[in-house]
Amino acid sequence: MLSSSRLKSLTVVGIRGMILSVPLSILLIIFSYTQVTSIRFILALVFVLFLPGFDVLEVLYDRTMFLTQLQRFVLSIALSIGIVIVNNYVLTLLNIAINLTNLVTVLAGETVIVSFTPMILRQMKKLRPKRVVS
Amino acid sequence: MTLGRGQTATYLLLAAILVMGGFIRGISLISNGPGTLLDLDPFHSLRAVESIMNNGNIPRFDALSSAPNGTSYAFATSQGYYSFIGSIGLLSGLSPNEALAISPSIFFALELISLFALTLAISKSTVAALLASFFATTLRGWSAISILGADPVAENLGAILFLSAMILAVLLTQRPSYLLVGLLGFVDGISIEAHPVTYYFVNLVLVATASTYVVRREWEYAWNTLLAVLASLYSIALVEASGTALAEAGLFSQSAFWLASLKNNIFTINNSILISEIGLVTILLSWVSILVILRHKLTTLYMLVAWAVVLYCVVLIGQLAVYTPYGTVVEGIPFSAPLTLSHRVMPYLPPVLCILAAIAVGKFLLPSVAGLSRTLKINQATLSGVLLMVILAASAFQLSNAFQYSVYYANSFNTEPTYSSLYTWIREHTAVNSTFAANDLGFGVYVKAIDQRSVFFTTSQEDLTVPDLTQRAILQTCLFLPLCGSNSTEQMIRSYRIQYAIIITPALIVNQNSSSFVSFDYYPIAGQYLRWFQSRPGFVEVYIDSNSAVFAL
Repeated sequence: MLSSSRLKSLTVVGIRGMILSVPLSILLIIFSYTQVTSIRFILALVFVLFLPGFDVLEVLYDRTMFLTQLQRFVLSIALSIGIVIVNNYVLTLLNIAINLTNLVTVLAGETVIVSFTPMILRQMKKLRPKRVVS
Repeated sequence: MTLGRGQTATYLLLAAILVMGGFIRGISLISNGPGTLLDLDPFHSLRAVESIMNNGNIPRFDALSSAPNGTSYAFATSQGYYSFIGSIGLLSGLSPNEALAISPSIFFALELISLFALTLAISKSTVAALLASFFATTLRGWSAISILGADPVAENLGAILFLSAMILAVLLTQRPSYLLVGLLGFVDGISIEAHPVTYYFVNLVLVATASTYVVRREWEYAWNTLLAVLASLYSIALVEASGTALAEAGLFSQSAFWLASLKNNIFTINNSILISEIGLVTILLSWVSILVILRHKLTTLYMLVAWAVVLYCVVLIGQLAVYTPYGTVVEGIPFSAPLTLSHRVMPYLPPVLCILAAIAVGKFLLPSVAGLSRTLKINQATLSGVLLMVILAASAFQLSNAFQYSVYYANSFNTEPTYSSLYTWIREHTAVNSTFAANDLGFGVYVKAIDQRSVFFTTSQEDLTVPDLTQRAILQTCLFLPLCGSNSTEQMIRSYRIQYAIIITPALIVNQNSSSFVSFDYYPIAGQYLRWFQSRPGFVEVYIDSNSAVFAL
């Protein structure tokens, strides 16, 4: 059983993004090819207005700890808008069509990868040999 | 995470404001249904979003612009906004119409939340934060455009990015770091993709803010803010990628001045418009706030004063440009279009006045009630409650105005059904590559969006950003007003390969000779004007109904 401090550190640093991103990405992939417009609409809003920016802020968590939840939410929105717009430009410049399949692939892939980044960074930090000061 | 009682009450009140504001703003969505677009700009957005959703890329050429040749200045103003809406449409399975029509409601909610967060960050007062959001729901007219349901314009997105940039600018003074500089630079830069005007005003405000730090000798804050402005220049690469050259944006300065100068100067903001749209209570309270901030040297709030002053200066410069002989000086300033078309400042000026007004109440008036309550021997909470009620009651008139405006907007700006038979006729009886001219300056935007036909003169930026603007304006005048000789008109019609002339009522017709709009409003369309058209050699009437007529040329 995890001690309360360890549990707290896990919920804060690292896995919060994963907990949101992985299941939502799976739902996005599943529902994007159905006719359930209401769920698709909600998922679309989450993926263009919140999740990409939220995951980026999670990667930068150590240096953005001072943000309140509300500020984190608002900045997640602004960053997500920017990321989605840049994605569309990159797709156009790479001559890849902006269509449902490519958008789902890019957004789901991007958010999952970014959401794993904090954990990977922490593991790398653990594996890094400690400097011995003589 | 557990919310305290105070926080729960705050968020419940914010939710109540969102619902109330959402109802006022969403009247069109409720009465006209999703998928109904109002006004002119949304139809411009519709064509761009349709193009992205159907073709799968951000277009670099628009065959329907600057007829008859088309232009690479394709939907240039807001490519990011169009592709963003396109992404929502594709992911959710909505049509371009639906994705556009629903978007302002979402952006409205996010704008109010951003305004709440910004006010809270700068004032640390939840009462002020709630009041700022409340005051924002009472806006009408140009001020409400960025948050009006069923009016999907790029400023919907621009306003959120603007407020987010301001939140980052505030945080930068509280926790200076290069990470925040980078985030501010990113958000600032991406705002050019919502609308170049958003980027223009974000940077005007940031530079003005930095100058307040310089005055206070807070070099680190000034340096960080200016560094973020410099970092935002990456957006130039995005503008180039969208197919727009800066030279074209520069050329728009002349076009904007031409448009703004057309009497009755409908694109210029003045003090009476500010008062009627923002409300006297909000403006008076914001003045109180500015005076208190300056009198007591509340340096952490100087940013708000700089923001309000610099954007009010835009309003003044706009008036200077169109009402005085100094217009040519303003026209000569590079990228001066947002100054002359000063209505574009309205999504960004009112929010700061709402914040200042809210701070006047939440941060200055309510705390000073303590002393007053002791003098009057009344409970402090009671007195504060009474004061808040008085402020809310005083704003009720403006709130009612906002409601009436929203109802009027929902009923009067839905012009598509009025001309539906004309659109159908055009689609079914004219060739795809036909070029049209319309007597109303904005009507071409609808024809381009609904019928996919090119119209040689509209108020869209890509149609006005042409080197032969004056020549086109003269032809528009000669074609629709009896002011020119028939031979020269015929010659110009041939040179622009115009095949059809559309006349609708009501219409705003441009008169280049007197640099003004001529209002044409006769229903049913008939009388002397129609007879003049019918009598013109080479003009053959091919379609007529009670609102419109089409002549083959």
